[in-house]
Formats: sequence, structure tokens, C-alpha cells
Amino acid sequence: MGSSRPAIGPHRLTRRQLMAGAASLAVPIFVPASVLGRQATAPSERITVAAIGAGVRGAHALASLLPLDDAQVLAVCDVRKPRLDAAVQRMQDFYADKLGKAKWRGCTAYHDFQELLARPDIDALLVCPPDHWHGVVMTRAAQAGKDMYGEKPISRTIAEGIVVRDAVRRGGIVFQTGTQQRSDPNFRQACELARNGYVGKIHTVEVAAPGGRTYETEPPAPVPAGFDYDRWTGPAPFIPFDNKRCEWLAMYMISHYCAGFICNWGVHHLDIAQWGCPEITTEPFELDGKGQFPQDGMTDTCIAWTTEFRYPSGLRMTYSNDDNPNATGCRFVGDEGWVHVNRSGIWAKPASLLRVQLKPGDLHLHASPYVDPNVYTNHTADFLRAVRNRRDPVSSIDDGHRASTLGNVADIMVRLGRKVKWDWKTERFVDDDEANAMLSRPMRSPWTL
Amino acid sequence: MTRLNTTLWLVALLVCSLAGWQATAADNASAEVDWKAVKSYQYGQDLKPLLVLERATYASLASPAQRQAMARQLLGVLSDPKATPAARQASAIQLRTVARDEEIPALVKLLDDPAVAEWARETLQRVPGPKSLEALRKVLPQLKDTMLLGTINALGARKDADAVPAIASLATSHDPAVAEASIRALGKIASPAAFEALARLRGTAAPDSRDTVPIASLQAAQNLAATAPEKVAPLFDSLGTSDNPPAVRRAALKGQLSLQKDPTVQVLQWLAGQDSDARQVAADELRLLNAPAQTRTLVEQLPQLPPAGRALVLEALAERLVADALPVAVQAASDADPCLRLAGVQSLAMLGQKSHVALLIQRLADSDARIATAARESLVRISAAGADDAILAGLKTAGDPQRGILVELLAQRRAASAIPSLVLEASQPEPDRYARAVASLRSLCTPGDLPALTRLLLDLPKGAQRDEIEKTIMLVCQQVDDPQSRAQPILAIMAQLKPADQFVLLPLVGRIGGQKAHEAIQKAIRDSDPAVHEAGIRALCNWPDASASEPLLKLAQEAPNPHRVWALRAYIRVISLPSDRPEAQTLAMLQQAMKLANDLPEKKLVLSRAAAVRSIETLRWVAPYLDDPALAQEACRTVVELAHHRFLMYPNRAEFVPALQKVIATCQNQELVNRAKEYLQRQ
Repeated sequence: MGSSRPAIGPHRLTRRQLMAGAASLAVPIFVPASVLGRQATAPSERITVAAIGAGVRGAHALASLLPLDDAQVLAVCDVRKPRLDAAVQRMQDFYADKLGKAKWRGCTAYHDFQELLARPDIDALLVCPPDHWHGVVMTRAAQAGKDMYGEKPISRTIAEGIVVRDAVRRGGIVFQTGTQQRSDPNFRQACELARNGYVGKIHTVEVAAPGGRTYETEPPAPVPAGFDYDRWTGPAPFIPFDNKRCEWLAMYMISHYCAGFICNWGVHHLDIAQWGCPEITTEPFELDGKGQFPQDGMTDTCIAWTTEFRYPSGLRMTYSNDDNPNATGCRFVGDEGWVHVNRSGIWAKPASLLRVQLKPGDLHLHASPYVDPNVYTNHTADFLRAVRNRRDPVSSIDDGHRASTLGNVADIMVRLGRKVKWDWKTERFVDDDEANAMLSRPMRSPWTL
Repeated sequence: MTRLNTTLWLVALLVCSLAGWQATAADNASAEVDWKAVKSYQYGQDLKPLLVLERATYASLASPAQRQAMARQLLGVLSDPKATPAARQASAIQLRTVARDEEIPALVKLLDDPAVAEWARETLQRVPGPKSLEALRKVLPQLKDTMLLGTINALGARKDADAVPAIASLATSHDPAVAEASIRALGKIASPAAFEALARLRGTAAPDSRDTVPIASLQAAQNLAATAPEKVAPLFDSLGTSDNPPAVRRAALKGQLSLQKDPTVQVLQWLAGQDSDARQVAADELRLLNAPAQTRTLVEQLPQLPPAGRALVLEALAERLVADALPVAVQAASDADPCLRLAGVQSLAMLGQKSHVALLIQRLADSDARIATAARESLVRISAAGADDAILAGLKTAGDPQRGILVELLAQRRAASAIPSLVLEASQPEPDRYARAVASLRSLCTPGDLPALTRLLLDLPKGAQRDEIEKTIMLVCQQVDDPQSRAQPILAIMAQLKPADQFVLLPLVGRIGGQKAHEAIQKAIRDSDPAVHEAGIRALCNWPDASASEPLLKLAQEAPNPHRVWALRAYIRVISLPSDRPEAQTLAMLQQAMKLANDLPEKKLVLSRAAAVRSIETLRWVAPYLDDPALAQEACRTVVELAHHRFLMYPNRAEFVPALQKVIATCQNQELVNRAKEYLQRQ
């Protein structure tokens, strides 16, 4: 490879370190920004926040928020009581410490997200339930007028994503997708080099993300106390509980809940591909390739894939799991060089590209604030800034939906095992009833978008 | 036989052959499936038969005959009461892919079977074409509870305009769930009739579902706005009044804007007004007002807007690089209003000239932390000609903490011209000051800068600062593509130094590694001069990977102290770095190192590095040290680090629980105790 620079690192600080650091920040004055009309508020007023989903991702999202002085968590919702209670307790302890009080009881626990949505004093949400819940929760939240940070992918299916996007835009909601790589300066630099022609005319984009994995079969088991498993299942098919299916990471590999890493994880680097080369999600494409699925075990999503997107201009995007054959991350290849970026760093050929300073008149991509060495916190800071000034954050709903669509289209293609054509204008496959039938999935009663 | 007859006969033969081929293909598709295993599949069993079934189902789409055969088989399992529930559910899910009109009657029949009714409904929803919709509409009056809700939802999801009369009547149901589902379905269907039905419901819906009507109406209106604006305008007007809930009102106000040919004037009026909902909507709309005429209007009206509105418009114009907004940006960056000051500072990133750099540096000390942060970001991003020089000029006069910030952001700007100034900063004795400069040098320097860095290294006394520069040089050398030649630039510099300085650089060469470095180090180790020999040993102990493990082990076994201890510590370090070596082998090497360790620091090092070997055998080896007072604290850390990995702890919970409990009882580090507790509670 050419020259490189290490990533500033999404994972440089642990959650515990973050919490410890945040505790020393200034004491906030709690004023819901909505009371004052948001964009007219002084920067010192708080944005009131609630989290829906307090699992692995929900805990990360909350941790990324705590160092930021201009927001305050008022509620958490989860269908697992032990997890919910623990998350609420963490918030109570954090704010008690921050306010210098022995106790603080300002964070409320919710089992039903719709009760939480009814609270008028909550400005914004961190929406982090499992993927199969994204569409329902995000749509209802948008209809309730709540601004949102929403985990990627936007939805389990493309059709759900369209509904979410439309609801967000119709309601004038500020929505930030959980594609945090956009808040990492290395990723922005790679995309700015690509967008401003420093690698020449881009002819190929190479993308790779971690592949899926299988899990050994797990027998049905009693549902743990305090876990509303029926509610957790929600719109997905109901399968009797076992000890793995609701857990990180197995649930990402079961198609009832997630399209697998071809979409769920892949969205991160697919999003960077479209950020650096917008043609990828504006022009129609033909997609071909193959996927490898589990032969046994308890999961059914794609483990390995090799795909190729072809565009009318001659542009190609290849997308595979890591090292099959693409290297993890995103590489923009032009006729004058290339730039490759992933979470470990950025590389380029010629290496001098990494020292390029943008010229006056060059396109500057949206930059998230740099308030912390942790990329997740900077991403959240960008979200809060967007809530205040009512503008799109670095990862808008459209960006998130399009990146999620790329992942879902790839999943549908490898499942069908044949070439498909996609049209962004209609958001449908071209002359392909079988593929179009896979744009949506029926939801279990009584759930609907 | 006539010629025509012959042709017909041949065609008939061909058709028969094709039919036969298709039948064979269909047989082939279903032959792959072990239907007996499918029918008897129980929840929790290995998915294997179902995975085969899924692949075969998709494969059957290759031809109508295969698809039809597969649909028949799947329908057979779904309808078979002797098949297990898991088998029937799995078959229904696959049937969604292949079911067509011919499966509809059987699926409708299954709606009466409580065991499979929901799955049959879901499958019917996926059958393409009008017949499935007709079937769903037909059964609607006979359904209740979740089946009724599911079917209403299905018709809504399919946007079935013909279902509007039936669904509209259900929207006034006394059952709140049915009423709500119906109202939502009408919003999704979004036909003119659905829109009219929703309009009627606005006054008549039951109290429980009344709030859903405007939401559904707005959804339907969005679809109709382009084709029938005259129909939706009254809705937007009535829902846009202040007696509506804010979320509904804002969506209605957005609807109003969507109907205007050019909403710029309206947006500016709302931005200037006191109505916070209208201001929010106007702010959101700004991103869409990017036609040249609209931009011109925004620029003209910018100075007249109140501070909050001016801030929003200014940022929107700056993002589009509208140079005419620069005077307002400069003024705003010093305004007393914090919102406006923030917008001004942010806008200067896009619009500012080198002459505005001083103003941005001034704002780094703003009393409002958010503005100070924005000033820093703007200094990183400002791309005006001469901006680097202006920042370097500011660096000369800046005090703390601004100087440190400028040092950091010069690297973020990729300002190569700043390297000489940063080298000077890195030579300063204050740890905070040199540390920032070193961090910036690491991201800016290339191999071409190594002579300057090496000169700095040689000028510094031994200690932390010099170590940092040494690491920096090592990192810059890693930019050389060929790993074997990475030390070459330093060896070339060494060759030009006087002998006393040459061996000072040898440990650095060891850090870099590669064939050229190896040769230089071996030569030094063989040298009769004790100082050179020792420098060679130090260099070997700095080696970056496990390729030096063998000579290090030899030294750890045979060399006199302190070389023996150095080598042992280096050996422990390199063998626990990530590698392709089997975990068991790495663990055995660490155990061997433990035997060689005579003193506590080395024993502690072995235990702490064992955390890198993520296996249950590691836990079994480390756990007994929890009872050794001299080593228990290191053992505690390693146990907790191992437990952090779910894939390791989950299947070995029984062994982890007592170890973590012992950590909680004995560990003196509260953070580790908390983590141990968290892992014990983790489900």
C-alpha cells in the first residue's frame, strides 16, 4: 500500500473512560430546547433525549451522548427489565454525580415506546432497537415529531425504509443515521479527495465489510424473568425463545431480525462509497455476484459475498466481505491514483495525496464537530447541532436510507442467485417481479408502519 | 404425411420434450429437499433442512414448473396438521416467495385454522397481483382480533384502493385497535377516496383514534399534493393552525410550503417571526431553496433578519460558498448574540480569507465552549490562500491553551509547511507542549522529514521526550512500502554521523525492524566494544514482531543480567502480539517465560500479556494466581479482560463465574471490580 495515517480511532476511549471524563464537565441547567423553539435557543440550553433500546448499541449511543453538555437523558425504553433498570440506573448515577447530588431521579423507565413518544418534553430520541423494529419505531417517532438518531440500517426492508424516510421528511424531522464513519476525519478526507478529483476520474469503488458467521443450534429455553419476548419479537415471525437469538451477535445473523452483515455492517462502508462517489446512489445499476449461506446451525443470512455493481457511465463498484477479495473499508480508484480508508487508517497512492489541502472552491463535505477523541461522541455532537439549527446532520435520512438500500439490494440479489437491475427513481427493481416482491416483508399482527 | 402434419408432429414432440425437461427440473428442485426432515422439524433443531429448503425455493424460480412444484409442496406442509408447527411456519415463509394465484384458494381456507391463520395471511399478503387483494378484501368482514388487524394492515401495506370502503367503515369501529389500524391503512393507501374518507373521519373518529387521523391524512396528502393540490391545500391550512399538536402542525406547514411555487418569501417571513413551529419548518426548508434566484433573495434579506433567522440563513449560504454573505459572516463572528456568533464563526470556514484567521484564533478563547470548538473547526477547514501562514504567524504569539490547539489543527489541516515550526515546538521541555507537537509531526511527516527528526532526537537527552521522538521516527519509517527496507533511511543517516552517535540510533533501528536493521543489529551485537554490543542488545529487544523471539529467548536463557531481563521482557512482549500462531502454542510460550522469570515484574508482565490469548485454557492457567497475593492484581485484570469477550465467556460461564467472583473479592481496582460485576450480570 501507499502511505498511511492511523485512524484517530472510534474506539480510542472506553465507555468507562468516557463516563469518567464526562462526570467532570460543567453542571447543566435543564431546559428542554423545544420550549424555546430550538433553533432560537442559546447554545447553553439542553436538548432533552430519550433512548429506545438499551442493548449493546443503545448503551453505546447513550455513552456517546453523556460527555456532551448540551443534552440530557430523561427516559430509557427497553423490553428487558433488567437491562432497562440497569440503563436507567446508569443515567441516574451519572447525573447525580454531575449535579453533585446524592440521588437523581430524572430518568424514567418505559416498557412501551409509544408511551415514551407521547411525552411532549422530550425533544430527541436515540433509536436503537433490533433492526426488525427500526421501521415501526422510526415511523411512529417521526409522526410524533421527535428528532432522531437512528441506528443503521434504516430498516429491515427497502419498503420500510421508504416509509421512514417519507415520514421524516414530511414531518420536518432532524434525523441522523448511525453511520458514524462520516464523523471520522479520515473518512471525510478520503471522500473529499474522491469528490474533488484528486484521484482522477473514478472508475472503480471497492468496498468490503466483515462477513457473517454461523452459530450452533440452541434449544428453546424459558424466557428470562422481566423479558417481554413477545414484544421483542414484535413485527418479526414468532419463534420460541432460546438463549442466543436475541443476543449480540447472533440476532444480526438471523433473517427474521436482520438482513445479516451484508447489509447491517456493510452499510457503514457502502455509505462511504456513496459519500465519495454519489453516482453510486443516484444512477441506476446492474448487480451481479454470488453469496455463500450457512449449511447448518441456527442462522440463515449470508456469510460471504462477492458482488459487482455496474453503472451506465462505466463506473463499477465491487462489494465483498473482507478479503474476498476486497480489503476491508472503501477504496476509490481513479485514473490518477487511489485512496483507501477504513477504521484503522487511510492510505493513498501516490502517498502525497494524503497531504493534499483542499483549495478554495473545492467541495468541502459536512464536518462533524470535533469535541472528543471518540468518533461516536463527535457524531452525536453533530446530531445535537443539527437539532438546534434544523439542518441535516452529516448522515441524513436520505443518506442512511440509500446506503441501507444498497445493502438490502445486495442481499436480495445473492438470495435470488442472479443478476438484478435497480432504479433509484422508482426505488424498484427493473422488470423483476420476483425481486420486487422482496422489497417488503409482511409484519406479524398487530404491527404495522 | 403432409409437410404440415410433419411440422405439427415435430412441434408436439418438442413440446412434450420441453414438458418432460421441465418436470425433471421441477423434480430436481424439490428432490434437493428432505421433505420428511422438513415436516418433522422442531424449533431449536439444526436449521439444516430448512436452509436447504430455502435455497431450493429460490432455485425453483428458475422456471414456472419448478416454482409451481415447490409451491405445491410447501402448501402441502403448511396444510398438513401432522407437520410440526415449526415446519408449517417455515413452509409459509418460503411459500411467500413462490405462491401465486393458484395457491390463493388453499391459503384462504387456512385462514380458518387458528394454528396457521396468521402465517397464511402473511403469505396471502405477498402473493402478487389483484387476486390476492380480492381474497383479502373478501375475508375481511369475517375476521376479528389480530387476524382482522393483520388483514387491514396487509391491505394498507399493499395500497389497495379497492379496500377503501371496507376499511373506512372499520375506521369508526368501537375497537380502538381496529379503528387505529384502519385509519393508518387509509393513510398508506392514499388514494383520493382514502383521503376523502380520512377527511370525514376528522370529526367522527372515536376519541382513542382521533389523534391518528391527522397523521394519516398528512401521509395521504403527501401522495396527492403533486396531482391534486387543490384537494390537499385546505387540509394543510386547517392542520397548520396553532391549536393542532406541534408535530401535526409542523407537517402541515411543510405541506403548505410544498404547494408554493417559490416558498422563499414565506420561509423568510417565518424565520423573522415569533412562531417557533413555523421557524423550525422554515429552517428545514432552507436546504431546498438553492435555485440562483432563491439564493439571491436570501442574500438580500439576510441583514434584515433577526439574529436566529440570520444565523440559519448565513450558514445555508456559506455552505453554498456564496461570497456575498462574507460581510455578514465577519460581523456575525463578533456579535454579542451567541447563536449569531456561532454561525459567523462556522461560516468563515467556507467564506473566510487569510485576513480572517486572526479573528478565528481570537474566537478560540470564546467564553462559549461551543463557539470555541467551532472556531477550531473553522481554522481546520478554512481553505483560503495563505491561511497556513496566517495560522503559523498566530502560533508565534499565541499563549496557552491556544498555542496547543493551533499545533494540533495544523496537522489536521495537513499543513506540511508547518513542520519546521512543529519540530521547534517538539524540542520544548514542557511535556504538554512537546506531546502535542509530536502528535502533529506523526501525522504530517514523511520519510523526507527524517533528517530533521533525527537531528532533534540526537539533540535531546535520554527520557520520555526522546522516546516519543524515537517512536515518531519509527512511525514515519513505516510509510516505506517495503518492510525490509524501512530502516534504510535511518541507516543512511547513521552512516553520515560520527561513530558515537551511530550506535545511539541503533535501538531506534531495532524498533523499525526489517532485514537491513537485522543485519546492522547482529553486527553490533558481535562488536567487541561493550557500548556498541549493549546498543545491539537493546535494539534487538525493541524488535517489532515475533520474528526475533528465538534469539530473544536464547538471551533470556543465557545472557548475563541486565541483558537477560531485557531480553525476557522483550520475549514476553513479542510472543503475545497478534499472530497466526495457535493460541495453545502462545500460551505454552508464556508459561515457559513464567518459568524463566525470577522476579515479580517479569511474572506480572507474563500474566498481564496472557490476556491477549483468548482461550479457556488461559483462564484455567491464570485463575490459580488469583490466590497468590503477589500476583493476584495482574491475574484479576487478565481474568476480567478475558471475560470481556462474550464468545469466550458465554460457553464457559461455569468456569468464569467463580473466577470473576474472586476478582470482586480480591481486586483493589474498582474499575475492574465494576466490570467483573457487569460481566456476571450480562445475560
